[in-house]
Order: sequence, then structure tokens, then C-alpha cells
Amino acid sequence: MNNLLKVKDLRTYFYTDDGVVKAVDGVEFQVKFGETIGIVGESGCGKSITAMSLIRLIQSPPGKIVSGNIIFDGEDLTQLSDEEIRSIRGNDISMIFQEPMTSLNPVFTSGYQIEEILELHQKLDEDQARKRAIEMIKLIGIPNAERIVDEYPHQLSGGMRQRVMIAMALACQPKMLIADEPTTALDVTIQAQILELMNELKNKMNTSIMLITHDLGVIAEMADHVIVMYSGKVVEDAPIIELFENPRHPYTIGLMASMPSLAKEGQRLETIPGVVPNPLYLPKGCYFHPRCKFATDECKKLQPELREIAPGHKSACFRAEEVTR
Amino acid sequence: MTERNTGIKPDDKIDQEIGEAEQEILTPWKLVRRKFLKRKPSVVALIILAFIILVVALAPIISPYDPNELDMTNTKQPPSKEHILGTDELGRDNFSRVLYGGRVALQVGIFAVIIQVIVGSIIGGIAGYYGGWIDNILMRITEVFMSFPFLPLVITISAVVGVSIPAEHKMYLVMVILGLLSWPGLARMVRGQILSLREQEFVLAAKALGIKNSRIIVRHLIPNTVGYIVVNATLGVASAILQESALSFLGLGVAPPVPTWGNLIQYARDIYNLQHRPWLWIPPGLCIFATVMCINLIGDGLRDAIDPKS
Amino acid sequence: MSEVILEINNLKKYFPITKGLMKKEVGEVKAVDGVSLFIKEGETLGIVGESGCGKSTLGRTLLRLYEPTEGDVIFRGVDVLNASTDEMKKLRREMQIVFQDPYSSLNPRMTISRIVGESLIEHGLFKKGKGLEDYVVEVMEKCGLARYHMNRYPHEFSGGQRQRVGVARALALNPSFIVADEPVSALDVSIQSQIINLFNDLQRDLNISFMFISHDLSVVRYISHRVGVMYLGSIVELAEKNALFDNPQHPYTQALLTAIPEPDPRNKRERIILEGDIPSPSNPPSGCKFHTRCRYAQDICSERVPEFRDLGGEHFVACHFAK
Repeated sequence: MNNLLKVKDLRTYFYTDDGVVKAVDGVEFQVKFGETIGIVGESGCGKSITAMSLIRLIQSPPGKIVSGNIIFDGEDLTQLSDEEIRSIRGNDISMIFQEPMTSLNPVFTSGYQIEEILELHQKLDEDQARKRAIEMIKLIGIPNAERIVDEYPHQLSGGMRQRVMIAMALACQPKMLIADEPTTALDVTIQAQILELMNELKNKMNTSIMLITHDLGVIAEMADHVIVMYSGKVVEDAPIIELFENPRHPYTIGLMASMPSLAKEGQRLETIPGVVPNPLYLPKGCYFHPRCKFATDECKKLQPELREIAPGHKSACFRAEEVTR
Repeated sequence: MTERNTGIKPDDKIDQEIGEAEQEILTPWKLVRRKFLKRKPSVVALIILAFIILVVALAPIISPYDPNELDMTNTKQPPSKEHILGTDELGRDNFSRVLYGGRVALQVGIFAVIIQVIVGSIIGGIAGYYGGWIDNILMRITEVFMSFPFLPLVITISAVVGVSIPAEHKMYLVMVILGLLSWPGLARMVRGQILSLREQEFVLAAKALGIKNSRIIVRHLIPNTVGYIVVNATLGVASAILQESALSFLGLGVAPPVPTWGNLIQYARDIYNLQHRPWLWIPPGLCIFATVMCINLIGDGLRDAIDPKS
Repeated sequence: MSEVILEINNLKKYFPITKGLMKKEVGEVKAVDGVSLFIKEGETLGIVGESGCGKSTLGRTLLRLYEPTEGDVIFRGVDVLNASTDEMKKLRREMQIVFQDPYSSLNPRMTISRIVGESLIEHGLFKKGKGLEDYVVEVMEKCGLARYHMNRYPHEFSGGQRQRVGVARALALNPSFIVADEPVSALDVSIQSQIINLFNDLQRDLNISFMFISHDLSVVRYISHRVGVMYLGSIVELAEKNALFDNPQHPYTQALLTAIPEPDPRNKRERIILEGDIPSPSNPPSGCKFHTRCRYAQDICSERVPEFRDLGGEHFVACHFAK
């Protein structure tokens, strides 16, 4: 299979009053055609910033993509002009966000917001755009599409809004969909609907999905390949089953062990002691070492590189071969 | 479950970063100060304002003449060694009058805001905490006050009440009028703050702990609105100074012989003075500008420092 | 079997919807609509449900943080809802609450020791001084905080530590019952487990009963002895944990259980996907409130409210067809 997206050494820094925050610090990964890649990590690990950097939605200042290549479909997105990147956003790569309440514009009908994109990118006229918008809304499983197109976001429930967002994102049949915590704000039964819908649409349209979430359950359900991030770095990169059955980074291992659903009855939950380090004062050596039970002196001094430890399985740990669940 | 020992396992306690125990304790006010000091324009404004206040407060020591001392032999003098800002048509030293005028302007601004803060926070606080019909009535009253046309009302009041008050006491009238007309904005803000604080979980927690209402108000609600009140009051001083000078300029505020920056600029109403004696009106004008500008910059800095969202 | 310490009968809390200048009442939100349950000494009762199902309101109403519309709450023989101010104050020492939001649940202008110690002074248990300080430190240490945290302010703490402070505050009065209102929902996974362990340790050491409210089924399953499932203000199923998770009887519980994404990539189960959205609690469906989304629904479901009945072995279900 070919790569749709290849990210190399991506670095996005934020220059704040208090110092430089290295939100994304040398991230690399690739996404194949039609694949769902999951990015997991706790709040502040840089997973959303990574996604925003891909389509250059970083507010500047204070943010800046300092280095790296983003090869998307043979083109380096970091080299494009603002004009060119705009024609890619929403057309070839589109994005859905966590907050269905604020990501739709409240003063326009949901139909209009879909039509707008179609008119802009696909150069459809008004009638065609409307027809296509209704089609899209039907596609995402909303029965009375003709009515919904004329409704304003506040008339829709959270789940409906997220569906409209997905319809909007998929309207131009993008090659890649970035979904940033698409179900975090939704209830479980609604989440189940949305996840099902995303899987269905992916199979229909052969879109690659980049799914960002903190929920390992959602990852297990959706992703083909997983990247685990910690403090702006990729710490582990593996196919889904490999990652869950044979995790090779202490952070991934700790994360899984601390999930109540994986704990045995009556067994005490494993914890990762301490907290995520302040991005302004990152520890020396491996960023995870103060919380790591496998840490050695080497970990305190040197920063481990992300390296391949088995075919298709990468880990950024000096002791990747030894650590297991 | 034999593996469980009694007491908390040690691994639960390492929720502490290395060296955290030695870190300096940051009180909320220290935090505000630290953030404020990072805003250079506000800090510069604070220094300038401190200088203005100092000079104005020391007016009796600094000023070379009594501001009301007439000297008919020395009227309408241009700036000279004896009178660095010249004299007016009655021979009074203009420099001394600008200094004393600043005292009046600042006093009026500060006292008007004190009245505004007292009335505004009490009314806003009561409305916000008790809610229901009390809130309804107080807010309607507030709206009535807000919908008064400010200038015509002030003009009427000072015209009607003003005649019975001697000129040297007119500044108190101005303070009261400005204070009593400017509280509604603050009241609405305090009410909004209290309303949102009341929904905060820490207030519910206090209730669940059996803490008395009065203590909830004093310990939990008021301290959390102080920051906002301080910001508003600061900005309020600036607008009160502006309003006072506008009124005095119109001859409805502080009346001569008491000097204030506003009525000193009044000289510029005369086209001859405007053109030929700029030393009479430019200095008080600059003073107003600098003071108001500084206070606003300080207020903005405070707002940024206090607002947790920034 | 241990003693029942809290009993709730047909508890209701309706919030009025008001409109206009004169605050005319135009309707009501039935946030809690006839809940009955009991909690035994030293047990954890989990309450799960989706947002807007009334689970938080239930916890707050039974503590009288909201005045209930109707019903009874009996705590160790005392009628909570009709207790006088003095009686209520005594009850507050026994019944406490821990909140969800580690940011808004601590007063930003108070130090940790004041947050934890405030209630002790209010209830006259301690006077300001060394005794109070030592006791506060003792409670803080129980919750995994250190003595040097005492004079710090909430903004200096991480989410997990703040939640520990929230627990310490509730614990200071030495209560026998704590409502834990989504205490781990706002925390990251690795921190979540620390707090869950803390709750378990406290229960083991101090024999506290918990009502553990959460939308996260895996957390509830891990921590609870018995679990109640709420939908639109009512409990639809309540049973011993394993009975509920292994043998769910109510169609809503069944759907909810299959909807949780499981962290096991090999186990792709058949999901029961519920159609549509949760109806508005201001205008709930007639009869069984779940009938609009239920795949087994029949005529009777929209006509008659199903009885909340015991199927045997304290497995309660509100469904016409459960056996």
C-alpha cells in the first residue's frame, strides 16, 4: 500500500511570554490510503497541535511550524502558499472538531454551511450544491434531510450537529479526514452512532481517517494503526493489535494498566505516578523518566530515539525490548 | 485481596513533582502582581500616574503661589521665571492652579468611584445572591437609572441644586452626582459575577458542608468578585475624571475660584486665549489626557492579570 | 448483610422553566422523576446514565443542595427532607459530596488548609490553632497530599491533586456517606486511576458508603458493588454489579453496555445502536420513557408506566417485558 501522508520531523513551537513551548517536537508518522490512524495521548501531549499543523491552522504568533515535511499525496504542504493550502483544506483534507456546539456557525442554516464549501471547492452552482448537501445529509443517516438543510444549528441536538459536521467534512470527498476527539462531547449511545457512521463512510468513500482521542476504547474500535504521544513526541507507533497485545513503551503500558475496564475484578488499578510535565520545564533525558518505573540512569541523561523494534512497530524507549505488560 | 495492605500504598503519594516542596507559594494576589508586571505599557502607566499623584498631592509644597491669590498688577502674563505657566486675567499663578486643579480632579474621580462601588456592589450583590423577586425589583431600578439621559440630567441637577451651594463646595456635589449616576453598570457586573459564582461547585460544596449563608457570602462570594470590582473601579476613576472635566468645562461642575483641570481649559473657549495663550489651557489638557490614559492602561493591565482566562 | 443506611423513596425534583419579565412558569424539567433506591453501609452504589438523565441532580437533591419536589430520603432513620436547620447541620457531617470539576469546585482564593478545615470550625469541632492544623494534615495525608501543600492555593495544583483536595474537604467531617458526582470524568486516564484507587482505599479503611455517579460504565463497573442505570430522570435497572453487567434485563441497559467502546481490538462485538436522541426531560414520552428508542416497544409501553419491580435477588427493572 502507498502512503497518502508522510510526516517527517514535524516541530511546532509556541513562543509564549514564559518561554518556548515545544508542543510538537519531532513527530513523524505515515498514513496509508484508506487507513484509520489513531493518535492517543493525554491532554497537552500535542496530538491536536499535530493535526492542526498538518493543515497549517496554527495561530501565528505565538505558534510556528519550525521544521519538518508534510508530504501529502506527493506534495509538501509546508512549502505551499497560503492560497494553495486553503484549496486543500476542506477539499482534500477536512477536519471535524470536538465541540459540536461551537464548530457550526450559529447564524447560517446547516445546509448553507455545506453548500458553501461545495460552491467554493467544487465550483458547483447553488442548485447543484443544495442537491448535493441534501444527499450528504441523507448519507449520514438523517432521515428528513430536506427539513434539516434549512434548520439552524441551535435547532439540532449535539449528535445531529456532529453528523452535520461530518457531512460538511465529507462533502468534497476528501482524501483524508482529521477527527479531533469527535465523540468526546457526546454520550455513549450517540458516540456509538457516530463511530458506526464514520466506519461506514470510510468504507464507502475510501477516505483515510486520522482519529485523535484520549480514549483507548475508541481507538481499539476504530483504528488500524496507532501512534501514542507524550509531551510532544511520538513514543510508540504500531499496528492496532500489536499495540494492544504487545505494547513496548512504559507509557503505553501504564496507560493500559490504569484503565478500569482492563483491570481484573478486585484488583488494585495500576497507576502512573505523578503528572504530565509542564511543557515549559521538561525534564532532562526521556520526558517520561520521572514517572517511569523502568527508568535507569541512561534515561535521565539521554533522550531515546523512536526506533523500529519489530517490523512495523516503533518505540522510543531504551529498554523497549525488556518492558512488557 | 490479601495483597492489599492497610493504609495508603506509597505509590499514591508520589503525586508530587521533584522539588515542589521548596517552590515559593503563590497567593492569588502575587500571581496578579506577577502577571501585571509583565505588561510593560501598564507598568509605565503606573509609574507616570504615581508621579502625577505625587506631584499633585504635594501641591502645597511644590506650588510657588497660593492658587487663589490675586495679583492685579501681574495679570495675563506669559510664562516667565516667576510664573512658569504665566498668570490668568486675575493675576493668579497658572502653574499653581494646575497643580491644585489636579487635586480636585483626582479627588472627584476617586470619591465618585467610591460611591459607585459601594452602591453598585451592594445592590448587585444582593440582587445576585438572593435572586427571585428581589433581583427583579433591583434590576428594574438599575435599568431606570441606566436609561436616564446623563448630560441633561446632570445639567438640570447642578442648575437646580447648584445655585444653593457655595462655589467652594460644588466639587462635592459633582462627586455625588457622578457617583449616583454611574453605579448601575457596576451593579449589573457584580450581579452577573455573583450569579455565576453561585453556580460554581465550590459554593455548593460549602453548602453541603453546612457553612452558614453569611459566611458563604463573606468568604466565598465577595473575595472572588473583588478583582473585577477593582478593575471596574480603576476604569471608573478615569471616566469620572473625564466627566468632571466636561462638566466643569461647561461651567456646571466645579466652579471657580476652585480650580480644576476642566474649568482651567475653559479659557480656551475664548478664541484669543486659544490662539495666543496656549500655556493656559494646554497644560491642564495634557494632564487630563495623561491621567486618564494612564488609568485606563492600568485598568486594562489589571483586567488581563486578574482574568483567569488570559 | 450490612445495614441499610440510606433509603430514597419516590424522589422527584422538577425545575421550573420560567419566561418573561414576571418569571411566569411555563413548564418544568423533570430532572429526577420518582427515584427509589437504598444504600447499605460500606457499599458503593454506582449510578450510570447519559448527560441530562438526572444523575447529578439526584445526588444533589438527596443532600438537599436542591430542594426536592416530592419524596422521602431517610438517612439512618432521620427524615432528611423534613429536617430542621439544626438537624440538617448535624446531617451534613454524615453526608458529603465530591464534585466533578476540579477547577470550579475549589475556591480559588482560599488555601488548601482553609478549604479542608473550614467546615471543622463551622461545626465547632476545632478552634483555629495547632490541633486543627494537625488534623487537617492528617486528612490531607489520607488523601495523598503532603503537609507542605497546606498553604498553597488551588491554582498551584494539577487536576488530580485538586480532586484529592476535594475528597479531603468532604472527608474532614468524617462522614459515613459520600456522593461522588463524576469525580474522575475530568481527569486524564493515568490520573483517573489514582483517584479511583483513593476511593477504594477510603472505603476499605473508613467503611464509607458511596454513591458513585458517572457516565463511564467501565469506571462504575470497577468501583461499585451495585449499579443503577438512569434514563430521563428514572432508574430503569438496579442490580448487583455482575448481575447487571452480565445479564442486563432492560433494553436500555443492554444498548448502553454494547455501546461502550472496549479497549480490545480483536473483540469487535455486535452493537445495539439506539436510534435517535434522548428526548427532552421537559417533555418526556408517555408510559415507559424509553419506548421511543426501544426496539422491543409495543403499544402498552407508550400507555402504561412500567413498574420498578424486583425480578428476584434484588435485581430491579422497570420494563413490562423483563422476566
